[in-house]
Amino acid sequence: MNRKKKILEEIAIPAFEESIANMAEDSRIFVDKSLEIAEFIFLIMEDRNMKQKDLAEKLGKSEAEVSKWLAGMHNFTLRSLAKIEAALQTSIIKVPTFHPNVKITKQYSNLAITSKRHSTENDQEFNYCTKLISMEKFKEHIQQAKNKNEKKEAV
Amino acid sequence: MALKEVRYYTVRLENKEVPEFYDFQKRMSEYNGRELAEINRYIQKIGNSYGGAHERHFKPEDAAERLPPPYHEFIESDDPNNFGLRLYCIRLSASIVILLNGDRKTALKVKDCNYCYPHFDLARKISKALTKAIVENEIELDHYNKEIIVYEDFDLTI
Repeated sequence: MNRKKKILEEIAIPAFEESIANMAEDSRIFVDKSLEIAEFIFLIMEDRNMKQKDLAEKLGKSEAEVSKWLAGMHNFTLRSLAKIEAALQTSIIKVPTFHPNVKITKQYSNLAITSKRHSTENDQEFNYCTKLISMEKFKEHIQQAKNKNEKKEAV
Repeated sequence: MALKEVRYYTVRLENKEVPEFYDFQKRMSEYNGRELAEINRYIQKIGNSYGGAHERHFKPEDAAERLPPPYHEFIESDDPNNFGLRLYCIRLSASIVILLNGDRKTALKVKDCNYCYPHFDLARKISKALTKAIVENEIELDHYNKEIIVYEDFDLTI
């Protein structure tokens, strides 16, 4: 018998979208940032061919602890982030520099300042950032910043 | 539910009116809104970014998986018998994940939790049945297009 095949169909679950749309802003920031940090650490480790075991040994922690960091939704303390930064010799958290004369929109404030800093620092760090935050807006912003710098230099 | 990197599926049991993940959303939204939203946001984020649903994003539980990821403890809980929400799921690949059902975990071991155990048990039974069906070519996974392809007369028996 020739049996026909079918692709499973898609169903909408509106409650899923609704709960995200209505979630507390701090909850959303927590999930997003914890995942961004986890993925950033993961990318750096991957780039350096480091296993979870290697980082765990460097920090005197268990592999399970490192696995917890790399999953996202981990409530990092500043102390543990400092230890990870020291072990990886890389900045993970960048605090934006406040400048009263620069007007930056709320949504991209961190990214705008980060891109400015990173573009003037070493290229390696800059690359990690573009890999992690592959947002079109972010790329546009970097290009604009570069264009401005080139214009200034030309003047 | 198709996102950029992952297509999420769910399962509807013959004796149930609604699919499992739908039931989870409905039941949990009333008293566990904050935790539910965090799990949902997490599902959405890994579905849209970071190359999909990787092993590191899930905690293995017998033949299935669960969310939130390993060792995550929801904050602001002083109750020693409150281990937070659990959503049982099956990660078939980085691009295909089946979201099932769950509840609040009230005991250290899932077998001791009356709320979670039925969902955990269902997840592992479905996972085993799916693995068998994949091995027997009853189910085909198209990872590139994130699709599950089955015969028209196929029913998953658990």
